[in-house]
Amino acid sequence: MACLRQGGQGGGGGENMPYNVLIVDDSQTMRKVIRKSVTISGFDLGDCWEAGDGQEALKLLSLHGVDLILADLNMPVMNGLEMVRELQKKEEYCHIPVVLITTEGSEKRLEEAYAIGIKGYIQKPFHPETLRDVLSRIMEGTHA
Amino acid sequence: MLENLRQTVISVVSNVFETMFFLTLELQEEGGAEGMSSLTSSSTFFRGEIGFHGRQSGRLRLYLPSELAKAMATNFLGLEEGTATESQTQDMVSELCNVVCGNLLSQLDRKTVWDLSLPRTLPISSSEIKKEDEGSGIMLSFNTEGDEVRVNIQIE
Repeated sequence: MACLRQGGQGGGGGENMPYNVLIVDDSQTMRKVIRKSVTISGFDLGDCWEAGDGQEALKLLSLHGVDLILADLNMPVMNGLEMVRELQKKEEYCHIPVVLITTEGSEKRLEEAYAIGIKGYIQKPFHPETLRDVLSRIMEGTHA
Repeated sequence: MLENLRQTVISVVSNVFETMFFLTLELQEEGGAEGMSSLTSSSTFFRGEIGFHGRQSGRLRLYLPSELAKAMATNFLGLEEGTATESQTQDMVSELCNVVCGNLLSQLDRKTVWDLSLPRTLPISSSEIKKEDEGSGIMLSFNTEGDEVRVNIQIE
């Protein structure tokens, strides 16, 4: 099923509204560091939620309006690719941009990830400027 | 093959420590059976471990003195000095293993799809490290700010 909608469900980015972000990573340490990096990068961050795996992320999505998902790939219970596949099946979530933040660098796996719908990819470790550049490009694209 | 792996490990580990923790690593001579006592006075350590499977299978282990690991977790999380908990420190070491291993494998071979296990970290004593030193594989030893960090890679 093709996803026909664009942009997130939080309403962020329009009329100076900040973006609501969901961070999905099984490492609590990494979630905190990603949140801090997003903040200091200058990206317009609104509400920010954290999930430890894909399944937890899907539960949070049913409760909150999210404009952008930053997700790890290698996680227990439901990994990043499985989560993106689930998102693509649901009309209410398929339009939310997903950026993978992962140590993964395999060309085949990244090709697969883009094919199923991710919008961007950042390899760990990263600098906050890289994060800002990728997020800004993607979020500008959702309002084009 | 082994020399290429060794050089790539040195490059990746140095880059990851610099980017994540602003720490400069200096390569020491390869680790031997004397254990981790030459550079550090610490008697307790954290051992992080992650497995990989792809064109080849194996595992990567990182050994960090407890105090150094705690300081790195404190710095990484932006906490007040000395306030990182054991749980936060172990989580940081696990994530460090994940980052080092993922970057290492993608530098060695980007064409292969590598599967990584979930990393885990345990406290370990210097005597236990001595026993583990007797295994095969590559063992590299680095000095950073007066402490020793070790990386061990075993390929099946």
